[in-house]
Amino acid sequence: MHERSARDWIWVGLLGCLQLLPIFAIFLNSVAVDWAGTILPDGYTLAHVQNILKDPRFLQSIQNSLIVGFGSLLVTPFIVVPAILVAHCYFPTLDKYLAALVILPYAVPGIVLALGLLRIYSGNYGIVLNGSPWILIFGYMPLAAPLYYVPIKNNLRALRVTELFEAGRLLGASDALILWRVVLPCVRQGLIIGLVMNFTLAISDFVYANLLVGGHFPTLQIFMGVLNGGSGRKLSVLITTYFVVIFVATAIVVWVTSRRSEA
Amino acid sequence: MSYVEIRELTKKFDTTTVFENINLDVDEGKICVLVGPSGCGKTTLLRAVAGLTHPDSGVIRLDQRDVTKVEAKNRGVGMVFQHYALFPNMTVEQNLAFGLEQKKLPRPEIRKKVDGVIELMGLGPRAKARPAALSGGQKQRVALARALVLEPKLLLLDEPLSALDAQIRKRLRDELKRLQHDVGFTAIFVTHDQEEALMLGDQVAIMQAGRFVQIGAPAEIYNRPANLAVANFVGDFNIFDPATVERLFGVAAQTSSWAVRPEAIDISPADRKASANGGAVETEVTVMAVQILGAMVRHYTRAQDVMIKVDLLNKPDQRLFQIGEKARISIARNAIAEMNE
Ligand SMILES: Nc1ncnc2c1ncn2[C@@H]1O[C@H](COP(=O)(O)OP(=O)(O)O)[C@@H](O)[C@H]1O
Ligand SMILES: [Mg+2]
Repeated sequence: MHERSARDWIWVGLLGCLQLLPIFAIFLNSVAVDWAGTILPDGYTLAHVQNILKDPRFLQSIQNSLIVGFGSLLVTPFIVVPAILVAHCYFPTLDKYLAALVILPYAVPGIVLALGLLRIYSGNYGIVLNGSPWILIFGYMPLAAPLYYVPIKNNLRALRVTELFEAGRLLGASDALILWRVVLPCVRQGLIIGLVMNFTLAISDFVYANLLVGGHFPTLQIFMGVLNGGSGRKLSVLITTYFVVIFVATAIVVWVTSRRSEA
Repeated sequence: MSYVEIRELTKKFDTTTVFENINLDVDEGKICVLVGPSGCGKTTLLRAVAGLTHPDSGVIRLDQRDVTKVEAKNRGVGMVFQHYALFPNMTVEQNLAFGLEQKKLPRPEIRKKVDGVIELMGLGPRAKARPAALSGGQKQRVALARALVLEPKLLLLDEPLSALDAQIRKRLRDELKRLQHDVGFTAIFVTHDQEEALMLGDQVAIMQAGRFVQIGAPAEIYNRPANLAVANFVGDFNIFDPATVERLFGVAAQTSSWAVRPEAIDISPADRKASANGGAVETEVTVMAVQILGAMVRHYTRAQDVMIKVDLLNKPDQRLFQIGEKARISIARNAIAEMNE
């Protein structure tokens, strides 16, 4: 492989700094006393942070967001990933329809999808999830499907699954065992990407959360929406918190997933 | 009774018949090489023997046991695939242990067998590597080891060397021969490379459009091809149809064609007197091109309007012919294979 030189590292470092700059600025703003007309704030204070920590709506919204985020992770991959694997391994002819189906939620306007979800989950079909976090967890599923599909499919394409199954059969292993012991570990990277993006989607969505549950179940994004137009400092605290949550959660997902497949 | 017996085996996919009522016998401890053009049904036959596809009719017996309806994993058959089919997420050791684990063998025994086969195949330095870090030759060695470690009654190899470059291919081929000598496995080996077939096979079965056109020892296949297609496969024979035979060599009343190997033809300067060998046929030729093929020097000669290939051994003192030079060729009668079709 290509050796990384010091110059490569400098470039990566510079780009990294550039990308972190806005986040850092938001963070500075959240702890600034006053910040106008100067490069750096006039002074620093934790007053806004304390202020918002006292707001019960804040903690509630973080809790709600985490429920939706992890709830989505507990449901979506268990339905979407097996579907992707089975389609790839056993129904290659149907797989191209799945590829189209999976991007459909992004092709229709958000409002159409939201209204459709509301119709489905408001009792017309015997399922009532209205106003509960469940409607978000299940509502994000079609949106998350391509986030799993694309990276996992990329991993799968590099495998000759039929041959692996056949090799397995001659060695005394069932297809299910090969799926579990070989195929799944081989798509681990795609799976991690899917999980991280699924979580990020669930945590950072405003449109669907607002349309589907709104004030019944205020998530961090909805609370941000409420604060928008108010204090810029408070909003900065929220956004900083949001980034921290995303960062920690992503780290957890990556850590858990890579640990499981080492075993 | 043979060790492997394939009797009246038929396999169809919908309307296309891949092969019909074919028979094959392989003796214990021997390598049978299956050769034939692409699409003639070699892989399908191998997969039927492995239990990966089900024949429509016929019987497959392995070591006196009818395995036609037996599940793949219970047949005692190992297979090496053209593209290795190694488990990419497992190290070499883990790949080798996988089949033994499925047999629920005790850990220490698995360890012992894996170590044994790693030693046998010289994979020691790569034991902890994953397939992606291995060269093609190493991958195929692991695939072979993974099949051998289960001590299969029969080893099936589907063009195992064709994805490798020529040098590695030759080395692995020699290694396979040595291994077969040391371990004594029975194998059916598919290839479309004639050199590989003749060198590896104790028995060579030539397949064409779903049937065997000739089954025999390599020497027999090489020297006495059953038909023109076999002749073309085992080397570039010179083929003379009956009319040409009469025109060039003055031998009339032939009904079959002659096939003559390039190295079986003697070539001498045109002014040399006709050889005393009574049985030989002779004709005048003009040398059109000379090509060094390594151990052989090929002369493309022309007799009237017929191209004749003549090979000479590339010895230091060999007199090579010049382009445009007139020469005389002679063919001993026992170098001529007569064949129809
Ligand atoms: N699964 C299948 N479905 C339909 N036809 C097949 C299938 N597998 C092989 N065939 C056909 O059977 C014939 C023999 O194929 P194969 O055994 O792969 O040939 P070879 O290995 O000698 O190249 C080919 O004509 C091929 O198209
Ligand atoms: Mg084939």
